[in-house]
Amino acid sequence: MNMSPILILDPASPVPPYEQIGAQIRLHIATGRLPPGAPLPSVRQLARDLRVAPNTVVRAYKELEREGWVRSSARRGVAVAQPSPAQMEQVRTETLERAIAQLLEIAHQLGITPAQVQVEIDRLLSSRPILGSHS
Amino acid sequence: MISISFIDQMLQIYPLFPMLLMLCAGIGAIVFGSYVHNHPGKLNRGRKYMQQMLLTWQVEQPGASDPAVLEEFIRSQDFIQSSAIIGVGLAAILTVSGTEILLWTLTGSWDEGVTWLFMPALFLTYLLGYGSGYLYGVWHLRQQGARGVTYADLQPRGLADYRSRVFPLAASALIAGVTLLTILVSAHLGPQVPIELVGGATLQISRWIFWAVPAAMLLTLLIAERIMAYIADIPRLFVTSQPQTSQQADNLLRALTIGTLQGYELIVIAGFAEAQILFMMSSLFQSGFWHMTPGPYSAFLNLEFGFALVVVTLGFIVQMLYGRLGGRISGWPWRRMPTP
Repeated sequence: MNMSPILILDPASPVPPYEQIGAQIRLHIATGRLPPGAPLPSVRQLARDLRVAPNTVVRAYKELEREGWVRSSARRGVAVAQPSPAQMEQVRTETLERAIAQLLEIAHQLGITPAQVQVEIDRLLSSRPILGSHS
Repeated sequence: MISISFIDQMLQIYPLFPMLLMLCAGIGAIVFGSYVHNHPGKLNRGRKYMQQMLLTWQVEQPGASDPAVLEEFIRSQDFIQSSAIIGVGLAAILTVSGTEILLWTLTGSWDEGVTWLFMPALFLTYLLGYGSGYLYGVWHLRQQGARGVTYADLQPRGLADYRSRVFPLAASALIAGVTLLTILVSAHLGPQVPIELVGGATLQISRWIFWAVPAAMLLTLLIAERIMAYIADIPRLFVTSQPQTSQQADNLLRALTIGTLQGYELIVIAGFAEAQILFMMSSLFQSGFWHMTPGPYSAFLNLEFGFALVVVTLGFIVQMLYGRLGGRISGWPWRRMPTP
């Protein structure tokens, strides 16, 4: 489904809301779903949609700006900046690491060994050539 | 079956008839809206058509449609739209009561019936009733669906997402034309102008009354634009249980509502324009500026009346476009839906 990128906030998560916001925006930029120059929603719109205090969004935006992911101006609001390739790679690696860690955690809970996980991944990759070509 | 001649007869012997008809329609809307509000999703309707609309709006993908998404969408739509229908019903009752009280105050009779201004005034209250009813429905749905997880767009949202600027431009051009005509025509009228009511009574009112209609047209434009902008701006809703499908289903609901309000806006403004032009024409005859045949300004008046007819027709057509009014998200109905 080719939808415009959205941001999902889980208040039950141990990750603070401003970090959830920041992490998802970083990921969308790193994967190219938010291209450089794309305008981001106003603090008010994002805060109302996510039911958080405006200060939470301000904090997330400030952090992203400090790291070079977004730039803000009084006239144009907040927009996606041109992050460095190293930053993009770092986010991609971190996201992949988190996903694998989660997978291994679930496998552990199910009593599946890492070797069995490896076999299952190989089987899935061979049955889905598109995924395999990216690997 | 009620025939046209029956309605004509009723109007001749009982000018209050259209008022009673509107009152009954208002009560009917409240009863129907309340039923749908209390039983969302229970109303028998063309589910195949609704499914097609979800596919058009890319809420679902062809070959991968989920019946649960359709049911969730219908329930949310019923819940919100029923509030809007109740709003319209209340608006109709208030307008009929208000008009009757006003006419009774001015003429001392309940049977004076209505003037040309009644229909646009009625649609203006429909616009207000529909808009506020929708907003109440959204607020109520948001309160009900206060669940943990929330979602947000990662792009600014605005009225331009759901509607082209062509429509307010057409309405503005009509207002400008009527204002110019009012300036030209009012210079040739006496200090007082007669207003004939359906029941036969004539009211003598200061010619400044002419400015009430352009003012009402401008006010309608400002109010309608503000309500539509507010609807475009309200926080995202969980129309379905999944955030990704909810986003586009929410877009569909907003676009449908903005489409209805846009239609009302054009109908009200064009209705006021037509009433004003007819009023000006009859006043020019009564003041003696026009004698047996229409004189100066008649071409301009006819042209403006023709433009008002086009706009009022557009207002009705817009309501049949199912929200696809050329916005950045909604697009035009003759084009493929823009990829969100």
